Order: sequence, then C-alpha cells, then structure tokens
Amino acid sequence: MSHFLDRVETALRDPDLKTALGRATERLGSRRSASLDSLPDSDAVRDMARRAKLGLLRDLAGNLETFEKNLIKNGIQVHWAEDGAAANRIMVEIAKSRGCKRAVKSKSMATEETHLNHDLLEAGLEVLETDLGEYIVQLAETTPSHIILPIIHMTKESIGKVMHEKIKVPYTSDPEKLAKIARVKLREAFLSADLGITGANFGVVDSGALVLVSNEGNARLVTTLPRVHVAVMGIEKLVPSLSDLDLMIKILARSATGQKITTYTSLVTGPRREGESDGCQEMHVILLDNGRSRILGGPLAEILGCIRCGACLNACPVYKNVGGHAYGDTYPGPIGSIVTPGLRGIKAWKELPDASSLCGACREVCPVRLDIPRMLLELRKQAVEEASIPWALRIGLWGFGVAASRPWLYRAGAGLFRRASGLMAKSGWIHKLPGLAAGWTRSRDLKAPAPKSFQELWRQRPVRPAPAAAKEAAPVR
Amino acid sequence: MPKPSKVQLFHTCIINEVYPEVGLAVVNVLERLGIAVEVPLNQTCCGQPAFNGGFHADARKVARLTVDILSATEGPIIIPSGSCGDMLTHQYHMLFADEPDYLEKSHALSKRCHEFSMFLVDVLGIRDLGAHLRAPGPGVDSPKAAYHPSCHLLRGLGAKSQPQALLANVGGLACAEVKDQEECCGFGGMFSVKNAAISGAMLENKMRNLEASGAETVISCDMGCLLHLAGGLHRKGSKLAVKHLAQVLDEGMQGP
Amino acid sequence: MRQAQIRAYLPESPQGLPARLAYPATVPAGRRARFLEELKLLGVEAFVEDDEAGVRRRVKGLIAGKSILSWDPEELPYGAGEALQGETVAFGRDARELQAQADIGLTGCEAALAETGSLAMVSGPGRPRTASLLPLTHIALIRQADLLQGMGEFFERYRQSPVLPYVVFITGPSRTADIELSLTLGVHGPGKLILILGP
Repeated sequence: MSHFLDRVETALRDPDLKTALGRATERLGSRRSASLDSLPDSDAVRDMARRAKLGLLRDLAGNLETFEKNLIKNGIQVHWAEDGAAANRIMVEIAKSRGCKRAVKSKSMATEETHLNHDLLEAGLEVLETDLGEYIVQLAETTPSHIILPIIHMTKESIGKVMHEKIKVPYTSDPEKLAKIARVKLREAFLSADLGITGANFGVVDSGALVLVSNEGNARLVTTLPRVHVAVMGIEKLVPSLSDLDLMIKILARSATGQKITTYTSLVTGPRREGESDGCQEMHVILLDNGRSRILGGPLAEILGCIRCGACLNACPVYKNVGGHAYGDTYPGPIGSIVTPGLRGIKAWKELPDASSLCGACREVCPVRLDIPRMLLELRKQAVEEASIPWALRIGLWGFGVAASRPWLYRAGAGLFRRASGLMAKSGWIHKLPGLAAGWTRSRDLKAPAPKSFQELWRQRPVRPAPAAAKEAAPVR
Repeated sequence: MPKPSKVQLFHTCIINEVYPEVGLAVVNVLERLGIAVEVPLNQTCCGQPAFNGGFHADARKVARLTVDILSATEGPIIIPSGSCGDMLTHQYHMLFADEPDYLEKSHALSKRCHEFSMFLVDVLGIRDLGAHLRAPGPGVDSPKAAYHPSCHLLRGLGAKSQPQALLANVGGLACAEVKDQEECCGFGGMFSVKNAAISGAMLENKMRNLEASGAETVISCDMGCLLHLAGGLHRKGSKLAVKHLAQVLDEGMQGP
Repeated sequence: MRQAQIRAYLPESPQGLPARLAYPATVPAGRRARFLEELKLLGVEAFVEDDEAGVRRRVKGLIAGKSILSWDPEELPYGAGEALQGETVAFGRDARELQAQADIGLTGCEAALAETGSLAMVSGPGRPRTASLLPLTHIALIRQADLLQGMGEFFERYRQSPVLPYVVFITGPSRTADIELSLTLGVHGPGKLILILGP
C-alpha cells in the first residue's frame, strides 16, 4: 500500500480523531454559514474578492515590482527567494549578521512549507512558535493538521500530557490553565527575543504594507518587541489596494471561523518611526516563489487566489474523515490536494487529487469561488500523462474507451460480464469482486446486472399507440 | 418551451446494465404526461468514469460516439441521472477544446440535455403529477422517504429544489429530515474503488444519517449514488429501500 | 504569448459587479447604537459618558490602586492623563520589564469602527503599542467624533497620511479556541477590554 493510503487507514482507525474532526468541522462550518448570512450582499462581496485576486494575478510580475518599490519606500528591506531553501538561507543570514540568537514566530504556513525552523535550529538559533496551537505542535514534535486550528486532532488530555512532559509543568487538561501556562512561558520569550518571524496574510501593493490577522495577540507581540522583524510571504498573497483589503477582511474571518473579523488585524508598514518606543528597528520581507510562478500561466493558476481561510477543509467530507496529516504535506484538505502537487510536482503526489469524490462542497464555500473540482480533474489528467499509473488501470480504461465507443463490442463485453457475474452473484448480489475492483466490495455489495439490459427490453417492447391525452397532470408554477 | 410531443432518452450505462426498471419507470412517467419517448439505439456511456480518472483520450472516444448518436436526433434529451447530466451539459466542452467540430456539436447538445426532475419542473412546469401511494391504514403515519441530493445534481446542475418539489406532491408520502443531507455519499465514480477506505467511511456516515431519519425509502436522482447506497445498505442488512424518483412517481401515477 | 496564456486561465469576472463596496452614509447616533451592540456580542464592557469630567471619573475609578501602562498623558483625550496622578504608571519610554508588570493598559485610539465593534490603534511617539498589548486589561478612550462606520471609511482617512504608520484593529479581547474548540480569553494579549465612549 502506498504511504498515502497507509496514512488514510491509520486515520480512519482512530475514533478520537473522528470525533474531534466531526465536532470541529461542524462547528466552523455552521458558524461560517451564519456569519455570511449576516453580511449584506455576501455573494457580490465574494465575486468582487475573486475579481480583485484574479485581476492582480493577471499581472503578478508588474504588481510585485510595484509592491517592492513601496515596501522599500517604507523602509522595509526586500529579498527574493526562488525556493524554500533560499528563503531559509536568507533568514539565517539576516539573523546571523544582526547578531540575533532567539527568535519568536507567529503562525506562518509559508515557513512550514520551507521547513524554516529546522534550518534555523541547524544554524544554532533558538526558535519558539508562539501561536498556542503551533507552540504545542512544536513541543509535541509533530505537524499542524488544519490551516486554522493546528491541533484540532489532539484531545485536551494529550495536550496536557505534552506540556507536562516537555516543559515540566504539573499535569492539567483544563484548557484555561493550559493557555495560562503558555502565556507565561511565551511572554518571557517575547520579552527576550531579538528576532520576530511572521508570515503575511496579505500584502497591499499600493501601500507597501503587510497584513497579519490573529486572535491571540502573538503576531502583535512578534512585530512589536524584537528589534528585527522578518516576514516570509508567498508572492501570490498580494491585494491591489486598501479598499480591496477591506473586501478580503470582510470574508476571511467569516469563512474561517464565523467571526466578523479576527481579534487583531495588523497593518505592518515598516520599522518604528522617529520617536516611537516600540516596534522593530529593522524590517525585512522575504518574497517566496517556491513553484508559484510555475503554476501561473497554467491551468492551476486560479489556486494562487487562495486566501488560506480553511473553509474548504471544513466542508470536505474526505477531510472530515481522514484529517490533515493524511495529506502528508504542509497544506491539507482540498486546497492541499492542489497546492502540494502544484508546487512539488504531480509525480510524487498524484494520490492527492484522486482522494476526492468531486462533490463540489469546497467550491461552494470558497470565499473567492475557486473552482477546486476543475483543478483536481486537471491534475488527474496531468497524472495520467506524466506520472506512473498502475498498468492494469491504464489497460482497463483503454479497454473501456475502445469498447464503449463501439456499440457491438460494448454489448458483447456487457454480455460477458453479465454471464460472469451470474456465476459470482448470490440472489442477485455480488459480495466479492476480484483484482482492482475489490475495493468496491470492501464495504458494499454490487447489484448483479439485470438478466436483460434496458436496450434489450426496449427492443422487445410491444409497439405502443401514440400516447393519447393522458391523465393531464396539473401544471403548477 | 411548449410541451414537446417527443423526447430522446439517454438511459445511462448503469440503468442499461443493472437497473433497467428505472429506465422503464422514466418512460412510463413521460408517456403518461402525453410525451412520446424515443431511445436512440447503440448508446453506451457518457464517458465520465474515464474523464474523472484523468483519462481524457479514452473518455473522448466514448464521448464522440455519444455526441454522434445524440446529434442524429432532435428535441429534448432526458437524462435520469445527475452525474451523466452534468457530464453532458458542462464537461463535454472541456474534452473537445481542441476539436472545433465536436466542440460545436457538444455545445448544441448541452442545450438540449435535461436531467429528469429538472425537465419535469423547469421545462414542463409540473410539480404535481397526481401521484398517490397506497394510503396506510387509519391512524398510521404516511411512510417517510429520505431524499438524497446527488452532488452533481445539486451543485453541478444547480437543482436545489426540483426533486423535493415533485416528492412533496406525492400523496401518502412524508419527507424525512436527514442530518447532513447535502453531504456526499462517497460514490465519486472510481473514487469508490481507488479510495475504497474513505469511500466506505463516507458511505457509513451517510447510511447512519439515512437510517436515523426514520425513513423507509431512500430516493435519489443519480444512478451512481443509487448503486452505491443500495450496495452498502444491502451489505448492512438494512431494511431501507432504495429507489429512483421516477420509480416513486411511476408507482404513484398508477393509482393507489 | 505568456500573457495570453496567463489570461486564459484567469478568467474575467462577470459584468455588472459593482466597482467598489458601497459605504452608505450613517449618522452618529446610529453608529453608536451599532457599536454598542457589537461590543455586547464581543463581551466588551462599555461605558458611555456625557462629559469630559465623567470620562475622567470613570477612568480613575477603574485604575485606582492598580499599576498602569499608559500612553503619554498629552496623547490621551478628555484630559484623562489627570487620572494618572498618584498612580503607579509606566510609559513607553520606560524599560520593557517595567512595562510588562502593569495590570492595566490605558490608551486612546485613532478611530473606532461601529460595524465590527473595533478600535483602530495607530502607533506613534507617546503612543506605545505595548499599552494595548502587554497588560491583562486594556482600557481605551474613544471620542464620539472618531466613531466611524467601518474599515472602508477608516482607510479613506488613513490613505492620505504622508508616512504610513503601524495600525492594528482590535476587536474584543485576545482569544483562542485551539484546545478542543473551548474558548479561552487573554492568551497573549489582554483578556479584558473596557471601552469608554466620551462626548
């Protein structure tokens, strides 16, 4: 069995995970609906957000140039990283050259993507995650399983255990006590850190500003206390102007958690100004490509419009059953099924786009109306063209194509199957299918083909007189 | 559109091989409404299994045949399955992006294609076919039916209310409330085999919700969902019956 | 060619969408009512004072005997800096460790947003960010004239600044639901937010 299917089986066998995922996705999903219902013209707002994002992507290169100019005007130093390794290298260089020893980080999916923490630790720097969920992920030496709620897969007992074992505090599973412990521990780190690392939810092109949204306050502390601040931002995270930002803010929190707005929305516009007593003294932005420009210009381009709200995860029946870790990389859920093969290549990740019934619930909830099913189909097409597909499957589908395009051959084949299943079936049902088809009968029976096909029955139907004015049904409009 | 006197039936491969009785029910309903039904011979499949798997070249072979057969006919084409309906209406032009001739034909075809319930409600303007099921005895509640909206019908074709409207007017039938009613049943074509474990988990959730609804029958407008749900319920030994909407309407129109 | 390819996969939006979000005109009384409604939903305590003296009294009542981290007195509206006399106060210019010991943070704000019950805090000399961030309780003073309808209006004002400062929109107390979805307040930022709306 492949690694992906292994992970899936593991996840499906975990009843605690199932309960946690069910509860969380249900709660977030219903909160999202309620809060969008209370936003006037929410459909138009979503359409306008989509327009702003896609419009910007149509000239991403030009927009990035303008953005860089405006960042520099604000006193922010700009670096370009072609890939994750480059981004990490730049971060280490900045840290070392500024004599930074201790870094505090607020949540950043981009830095998960580049495995930044690993490289920082290798370079001898101390790195502490400060988002409560990420802090626990770091202590537990695991990875986040949801874009918005990193430890959705853990029970409060297991969280208490991790904190007790790793930072030697008395065991408790009370969420308030656990949060208080984290507050005290991390407050110490915030006050003594010399490097603050963040991602960025948005970059505003015409203002040269970064936008950070959070609920806890750690992003504010990270950008207020340490003397150096470095933000890592995917190149696609731009919005044209502050009025577009207003649009995005209106739908981001609603789609993610059902809040009208997150507790803290920060516009970071550079190092501290003359006379200010806090804020960093030096600010850098690392603009990360890591495969994004390759996606642009191709059929997956739309995915760069994603604002990382996580609504698709909460709507997805597959995610709800298997959780984030099954997806095997930084981004889980429907968005991950496209981003991971898109950024890292389809060859190693072809199973992700397959793990979907194409139900379309994701597209329905996406604030920027990304057509995720279309992109999954596109990736499946690419997989057939470029990745290795089991021979049996290729031959099977080729055979289907040949037979189903030749009616006589199709009928002959169907007839054969009818006879074969007659032998396999008991009282009209087949309980075990062989070979590749065995997956069906793992959890279902298969109704055996009817003794006569519909076409045969139709051909044998007595010729009917033209239908008279039959019992007229009452048309109701 | 004024009521057509004749329609073409694209019966789908699953009806042809496994559930021909559904096809006959569709015909009966339409004939009782005064509409003649023609069945273009030599239909095979819309090609969706290959298309969904990423095998576009193979899907195209099948699609070309389907386009040829259907283009040789005229008038509305009725499709008693949401996924096949969505395939013919929205996905064919994706397959034929590089073949202008077939692209044009598939655009023309998609305008003629109607899923069964959408045809009745949106085209014919009918919600009440005068269907009545056998009345239960005095003091006995009407049997409940649980409607399962298939994803391609609900989200692909946008049919949010048509099947429900038709069912609401079937006398002697009550509609059951189903938890997470719009959640996918887990069929997804080849997904059900390639990702059997996840498909099975989704099926389990759906069956649990259907049984908890107190319904005696599950009704759907998608042959894939029906095949999958019927198979799962049978394996489970459930008493829930599984029917296509057309079968319920046909039964009801035969009189109580 | 590449541009054409890029545009092929990034379709134009349907016609007929409004060019921008509409910001309908509102009146102060309406904005205040909405603001107070939102604050209730957020669990933020709010006091409405009719005159400057009332504001100063209210502040004194809340901070007496506690240790405070405050904006510079001349930055506070309604002469509220007066209330700091005789109290244990740290300011932005004081050492971090001292600032971190305060129980209460006292600030004004650049603007407040009725639609979401938010404060718009703009940093500047004498207006340390830490005052609304480090202590467990944050008290903010809002002038009626600075109560706007929403973020859109704020950006209209803000866009004209020659040098863009750091802005944070604060909506309610610091919170998390990371642990089994149970709500906890005061994770890193203040767990209690008290607003005083003056004339």
